[in-house]
Amino acid sequence: MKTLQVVLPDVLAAELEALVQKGWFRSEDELVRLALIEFVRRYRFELLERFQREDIAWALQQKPNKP
Amino acid sequence: MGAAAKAKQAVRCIVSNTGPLLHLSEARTLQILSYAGEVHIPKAVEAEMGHLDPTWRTPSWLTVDSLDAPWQNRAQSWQQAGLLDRGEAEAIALVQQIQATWLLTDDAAARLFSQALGLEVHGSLGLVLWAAATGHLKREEAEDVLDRLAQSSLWISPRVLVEAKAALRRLR
Repeated sequence: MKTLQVVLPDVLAAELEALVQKGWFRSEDELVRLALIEFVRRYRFELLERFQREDIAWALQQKPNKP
Repeated sequence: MGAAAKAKQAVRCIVSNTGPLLHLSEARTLQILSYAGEVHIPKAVEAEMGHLDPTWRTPSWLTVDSLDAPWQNRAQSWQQAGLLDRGEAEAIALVQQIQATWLLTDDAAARLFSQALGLEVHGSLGLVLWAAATGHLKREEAEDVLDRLAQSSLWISPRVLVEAKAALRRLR
């Protein structure tokens, strides 16, 4: 499991803390994890396009150089 | 180092998730995986393939690996955290266990996660273009494969398909 340490602006940090205190999430860890999953779900198609473009660029570099 | 050891070292070790196996099978070009190197899959991926395609028979060039306990635990923790599904988690753990060079996946979340771990990741589209770039597929064949891949259950946007075909022309 990878652990990320993130620096947040005070206002955003206070909002996250409030959501946890109101019982919407069990912890700030859980909130951030779910937010990242939601981000990936929402931007899945944009990410897929980006990754496919990365692969196109990568494949172009794989062509052996002619002597 | 002897010649045999050097030859062994030169073989690229690859782990595939379910997506590329399924999409390349649907595009009738699964064998290009075998051109890329020694291909490994975890047991969960083999099970997923059997579930998704009842006609699936694991090819002889594909090695099915079990995860050792520490890697199995790691895969389970990723899965339990809701970050990845079982096949993805086991495939990523297997890359780390056998120190594979590439992970193949067509899943955005799995690719994002793997890249955060520092792994080299490619997808089905990249593999087809790689096969063309390295002379394993002729340009015309690769173009047909791209058309079939676009008809498979892999999502490729029309504009990316156009860019991929333009790249093929640049590979001539």
